[in-house]
Amino acid sequence: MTQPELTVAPVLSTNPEYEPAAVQVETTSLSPSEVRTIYETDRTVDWILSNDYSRITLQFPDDLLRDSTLVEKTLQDGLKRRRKGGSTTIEDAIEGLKVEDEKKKEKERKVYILADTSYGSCCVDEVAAEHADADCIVHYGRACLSPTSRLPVLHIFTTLPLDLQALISSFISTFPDKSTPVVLTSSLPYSSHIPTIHSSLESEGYTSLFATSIIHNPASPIPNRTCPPTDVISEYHILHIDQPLTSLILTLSTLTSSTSLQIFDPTTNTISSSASNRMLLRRYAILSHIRAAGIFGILINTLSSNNYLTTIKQLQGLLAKHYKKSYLVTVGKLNAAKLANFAEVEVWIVIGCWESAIVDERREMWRVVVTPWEATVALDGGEGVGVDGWRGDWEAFKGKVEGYQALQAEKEEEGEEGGSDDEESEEPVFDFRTGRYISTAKPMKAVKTSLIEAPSSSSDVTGEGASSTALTTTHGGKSLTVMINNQISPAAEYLQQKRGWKGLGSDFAEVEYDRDGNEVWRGDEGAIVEEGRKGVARGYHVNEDEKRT
Amino acid sequence: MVNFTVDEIHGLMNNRRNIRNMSVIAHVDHGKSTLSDSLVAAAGIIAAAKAGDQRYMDTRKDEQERGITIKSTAISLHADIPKEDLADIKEIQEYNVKAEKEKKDKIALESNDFLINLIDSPGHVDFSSEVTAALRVTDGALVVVDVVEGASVQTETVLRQALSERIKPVLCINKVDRTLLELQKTPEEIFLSFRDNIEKINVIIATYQDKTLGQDWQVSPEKGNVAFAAALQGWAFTIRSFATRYAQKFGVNKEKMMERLWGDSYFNPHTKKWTKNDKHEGKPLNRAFNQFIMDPITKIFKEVMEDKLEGDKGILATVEKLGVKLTSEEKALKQKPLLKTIMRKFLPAAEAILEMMVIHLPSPQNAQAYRAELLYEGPPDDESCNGIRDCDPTAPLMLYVSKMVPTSERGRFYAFGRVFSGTAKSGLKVRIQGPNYEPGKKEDLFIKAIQRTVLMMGRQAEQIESVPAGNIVGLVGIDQFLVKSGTLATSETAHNLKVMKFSVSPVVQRAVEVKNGSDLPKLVEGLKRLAKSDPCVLITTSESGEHVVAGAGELHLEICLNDLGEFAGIPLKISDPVVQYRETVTETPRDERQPAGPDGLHPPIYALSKSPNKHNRIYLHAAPLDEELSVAIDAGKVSAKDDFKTRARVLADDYGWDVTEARKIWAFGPDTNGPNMVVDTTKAVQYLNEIKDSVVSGFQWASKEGPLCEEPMRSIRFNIMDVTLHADAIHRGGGQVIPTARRVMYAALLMAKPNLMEPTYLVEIQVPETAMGGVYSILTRKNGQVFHEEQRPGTPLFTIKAYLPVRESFGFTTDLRAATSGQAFPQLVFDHWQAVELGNALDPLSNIFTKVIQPARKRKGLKENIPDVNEYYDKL
Repeated sequence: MTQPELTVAPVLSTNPEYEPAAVQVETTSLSPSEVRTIYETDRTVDWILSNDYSRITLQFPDDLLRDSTLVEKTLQDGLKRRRKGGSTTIEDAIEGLKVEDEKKKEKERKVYILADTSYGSCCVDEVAAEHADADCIVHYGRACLSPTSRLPVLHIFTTLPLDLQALISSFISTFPDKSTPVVLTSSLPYSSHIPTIHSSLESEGYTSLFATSIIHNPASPIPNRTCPPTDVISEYHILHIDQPLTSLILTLSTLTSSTSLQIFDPTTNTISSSASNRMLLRRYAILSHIRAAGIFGILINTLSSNNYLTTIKQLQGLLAKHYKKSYLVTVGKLNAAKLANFAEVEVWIVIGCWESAIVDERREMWRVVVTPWEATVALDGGEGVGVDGWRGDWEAFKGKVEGYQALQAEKEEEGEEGGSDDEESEEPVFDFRTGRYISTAKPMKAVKTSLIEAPSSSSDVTGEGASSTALTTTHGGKSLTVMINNQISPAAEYLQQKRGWKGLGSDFAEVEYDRDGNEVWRGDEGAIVEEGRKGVARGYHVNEDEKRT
Repeated sequence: MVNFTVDEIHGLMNNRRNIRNMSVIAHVDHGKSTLSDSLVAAAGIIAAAKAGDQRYMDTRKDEQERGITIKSTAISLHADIPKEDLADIKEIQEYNVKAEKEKKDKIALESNDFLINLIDSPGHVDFSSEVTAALRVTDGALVVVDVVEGASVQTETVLRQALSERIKPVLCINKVDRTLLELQKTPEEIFLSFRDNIEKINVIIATYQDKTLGQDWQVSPEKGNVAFAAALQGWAFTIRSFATRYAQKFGVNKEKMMERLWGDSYFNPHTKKWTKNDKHEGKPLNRAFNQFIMDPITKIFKEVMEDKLEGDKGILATVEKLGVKLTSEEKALKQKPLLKTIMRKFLPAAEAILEMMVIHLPSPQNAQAYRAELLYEGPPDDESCNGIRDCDPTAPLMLYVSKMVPTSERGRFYAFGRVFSGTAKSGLKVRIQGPNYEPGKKEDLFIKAIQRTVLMMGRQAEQIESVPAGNIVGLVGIDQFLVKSGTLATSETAHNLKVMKFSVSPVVQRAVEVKNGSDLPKLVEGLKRLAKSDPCVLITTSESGEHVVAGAGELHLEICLNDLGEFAGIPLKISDPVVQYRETVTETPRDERQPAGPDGLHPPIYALSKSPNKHNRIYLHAAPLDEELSVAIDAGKVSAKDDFKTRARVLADDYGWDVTEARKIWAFGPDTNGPNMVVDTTKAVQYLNEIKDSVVSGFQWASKEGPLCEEPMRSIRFNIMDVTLHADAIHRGGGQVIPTARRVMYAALLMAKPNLMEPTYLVEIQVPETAMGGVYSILTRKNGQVFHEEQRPGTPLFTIKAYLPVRESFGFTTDLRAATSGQAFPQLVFDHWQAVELGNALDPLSNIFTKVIQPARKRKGLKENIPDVNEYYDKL
């Protein structure tokens, strides 16, 4: 049996690529001084002491986890040292006077390590921290800087080295005109280099540079960075140090539609312009999936954001308005297998922070996964919009929703809405993926699927409707709409109409074939009912008396 | 000028035996539209004088400018034939013969008024889909053939389609005037070329006619179903029209006379007897056809052109004797105008052709009886099918919409179709069943009232209150629910009328972009309208976000994009044409180390993928499918909807399949009807049925976009060899199985020597001998493969047939014209899918990779390299 040697892990078993390593630390054991610089332990200790936190949680992303104990140890040491010796300042001297109090606190000051974050490791996991009853979180590595609601957070971005010379020389060759307006930005581990780069480029003679600095505002035109005034921002080119995440590329390319987005890759020390337009188009193609779909899954992919509850409400409202069915689902960390278990869902809307908004770059998912912003644009904006920009943050989503609501209100004032006849079908949605009409895009709108007059539903309820024991009923006898508890259920309809597998027993073929291919009639006999196993999957009881098998 | 009213037509519509629905089909430039014009002129809508150059049926500006028909156009005509001819109508005769045998009542027509619904269709191959749409709603076809150029590839294509829809043909040999004026042929030469043309048509009919029908549809002049015409001059005749004239003179009946006037039949003036012998005492006799038909015509031609007009022996006096009355104004004419006037009065085209159609083409009442089983997808004995078979206006409505015709209102369309059963009327609530509708499911099903019914009259549409079974109709208020075609029904149990299969497929595509981002909504609106306005064009948005317009050929695409520009009204950026490829496999991978089985073949090497949770494994291998079978699947001869037992029988008998395996085809794909299959060849696997849905989903997904360059798959058979599943249902759910099925199919494809297939045109070029060198040099440069070369008898013209990859066809016509100084006329028609022979697809240095795969992947924004098989293949 020849089998190709497996050199890489199969796709679905690897970590999906959307979780790129923020920091590539080559060695597993860092020297204490390296730990102190990379993880900025001194600053952390200062922060802890000055705010007087006693229960501290350290949140590490998976790829930094191996350093977690080192960091923890260094921090503990730092905290101890401060207490013991280094009373060099007046404050410390004063503190020294309150030794009694201090000792009490020192006993309580505990450090916890958080790992295996529930969703994206860019988000602060407040829930996990609360399990440890923490009163602060130190977050390491890449962060989306989404606002937190419950706990104070210190972000340590872990600085990485950068070849300044290479950057400047390739910058000069990319932008030969020294008056070109360029915004300098970077991913978080390189952000500390920005001021240095800025000053050395200015000394090279560049006049219109803008150096970004970090702010905690994902809604800023450049997420979490300062940026030039909005009226001139479109004139700037953007240089981004380090390969940005897809969501960031999309956001940035919105700003540079008439200029260019250049990316400096620190591993190769070269600048290249990004193919962001293609990516925008790919997202645009997804919008037509949203319009044509009838059943949506709303996925919760964050816990730390203080926005997700309102977002869910708004999304549900949005989908209901367009007669789409929505289901609220939470599956923990996303992967293709989990989502494909819900075969009836046609489009997933993932509620997450702006960085982890795009989860399906490699198109391994069975159905498309979109962001709330995209869903709003596709449904409220009508056909043919959305190609000119992309945003991933909450503020933009809210803005869109409100914008469309205002537009809607305006339209209604104009009295455009004509009374539509319930008896007849609505105009179907043209599905641009296939070039066909889709009749199932509005499953929650009760339409007639039969010419025969259905008995009025009121008599149904008072009559046998209430006493019916059937799990599902088809609406009005002849109609093809499936109801559960007098609610239209597109998912039940899916099971009834689209699935071949009808449950146990149905796989007993009525006709089987012998070796020569001749039919042998088996009739519609089912299996004999016998008592099966009970219990949970890791071990069943066959009989009550027996032990677990 | 209209000499009949809508009310009169409405009256005729109810008389089902007096209706003829027919389309005019032919090769481009053989004179369909001109001929249709003469018919329209006779029905009195446009002035008779202009018939022949008005092109009434070409309703669009570009059609008038280019002088070609692009859209098929329908018009209703009124015809009456002499009462005594009613008995000659073939279907009535046949019915009565049968009735006599079965001792039933004979029928006879009461009225001699006939309603003729005529559809003029385009002749250019790129618009064949319009012909298909026209054929569906008609029962008869008038095949027009240019006597000089003869039956061409397009004639064959459209005739084949007509026959497969059980549409009865009659023949019209056109441009007889050319043989007389330009080529100066003798009557005997003309006779021979007539006979040659008729023979060729009969060969096509014999090849493609539905043998099970038990009817003889061969055409022959002595039966009267071949007409000879000069459409431009507005005259035509059948043997019957002359037989009528001569029958009295010779004192025999018409049928006898008709037999005598065609073929090897001679009138011996010495013995005054009819004979089959062409010699009398060693001297050759003049063929009756020549003597009684061609000679008088030749004489008129000759003498008019030689200006021998006046006097007793002058032509004016002669034609007077033939019953042609000329006004003094007309007598002042000379040369061709005079000739035209005389011939038109002597042998009016409309009279001969309308008579031929009335007598030989079936009425809907007759035609639907044998077309019903072919048209209807459902059981042959339900109320809808019975309604169709009986053409019953009181039965439930069955109406097929075959295309959309733009109205004067922007963005709205008439749904153009045929009522097969029941009666369509304004306000009637109907079930609109799109092409993907299946009984018992909600997909593609709408309920809507018909707003208005109209009669399509070329450029105009006349409102009409109701249209009963057997008629062609335009509907208002249906267009938002059907993209191109569909079924309208009132019965709850109605199945669809069969979806039309086109002889062309949209293999050439171009991406469209707006120049200005804010114009996008207009483009989208324009695309939606374009999708409706053409039966063949395919509008899609690719996964990479491009708006793609796909058409049958360069010309078709050009016309569509022009339309799009007009619909959208904005400047557009249009990409270069791109060909659609198909991903396929070329061999079953076999393990040489294993012992060979009883069939002499080593066991296949399987691909294996594990589910994400590692508890389920699928083992399968890919094998090439017979291209012949793929074609049958494309044509709908083998389809997912067939009963699995009959399908298995067909597969076993015609394609050498194992019956047991053939019964276990799980699905066709992509789109549930494509030419790929997944077959269960496992032995006794537990829970297998439970994962069937998931595997099929994964298969549809995989076959829609293959691993090479995200093109659809073709001609691949995936054999599931074994499956191991987790004992608990939750661990073998869709989430585990769907992605795994897709991955294992990708792995299997990559292991079975993958290749691409490309669409290939059949090119037919008519070219004078002198310019043949140019044709060959262009064909060689474009990788064309010449397989046939033939001289048209009696002309210096050669017909060259070759295969040409569509990839190489862009600019072919222009290059060819340039190389032959405009003397070569190519016709390109999609013929088949062919393997791209440019090396191994997986070799990154091969031509196929660098020239085809890599650019395609780049265009789609994919990683440049084909993923390695190990990305999909899992170790045991």
